[in-house]
Amino acid sequence: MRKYAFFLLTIFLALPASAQRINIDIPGLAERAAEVIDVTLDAQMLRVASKFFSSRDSDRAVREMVNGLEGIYVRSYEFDKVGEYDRAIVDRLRSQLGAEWKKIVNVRSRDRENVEVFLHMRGDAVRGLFVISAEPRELTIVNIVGPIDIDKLGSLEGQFGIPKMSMEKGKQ
Amino acid sequence: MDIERDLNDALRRREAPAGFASRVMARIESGEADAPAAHPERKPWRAIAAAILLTAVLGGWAAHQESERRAGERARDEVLLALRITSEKLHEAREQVNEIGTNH
Repeated sequence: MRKYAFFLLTIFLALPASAQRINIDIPGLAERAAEVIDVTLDAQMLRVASKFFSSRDSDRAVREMVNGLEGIYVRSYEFDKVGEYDRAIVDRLRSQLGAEWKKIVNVRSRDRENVEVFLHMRGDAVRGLFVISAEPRELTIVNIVGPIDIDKLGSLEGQFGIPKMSMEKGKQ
Repeated sequence: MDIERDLNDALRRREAPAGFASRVMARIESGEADAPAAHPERKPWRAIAAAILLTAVLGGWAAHQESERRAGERARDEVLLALRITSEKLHEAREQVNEIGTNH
């Protein structure tokens, strides 16, 4: 009986994490791209990585943020020509998002990039982040699984090459 | 304390226990007394094998440590790359929102 309860508990705990994980692998796209960035870091790799941040303030901030995460997945494709990727890819990515995902930013531009930012909410807590940035010659997809402190992410601005956002919190 | 008396006592002739001579003679006759002492045979290959094994274990451990360090540093760099891309995209989105807000 105990084993059965443990099994159910494991599934129950695993389900929310899987709900935040989006399949961002697009077959055949990397072959067409001129430049590809592929970052796949599961919880285990994040734990390993966190040991390699020093005790300096800036490093500590990253380590604290990374320690709580269950995965970071980034795919970024840069193409030589416009129209080398199907815009329907974005629709397919978006269709995977369940009801818990709330769109907080949606920027549509004819000449520049279209950016959509989604947060996976559980109560007031942010449990996942999903970003689609579609430009004519570039497609970037980011999926961060786990509790994300946007304030902590903001505290990294200007360090490690992370750009300074210089914007007021909550202002959109 | 009488040193002279103590010395006399210590060096006084004593009779061997009964049957001592016959026991000694019996051992000599049986050849037991000639048996060499049980000294371990010197085997240098054992020391060489142990040294090779120790070197292999230490070398393997050092290589494993080095591989773990590289994997960890690569993972750290990937974390920073991922955070940089995420931050950049959020930054660009925010800039566009601000731009649109300013124009209206």
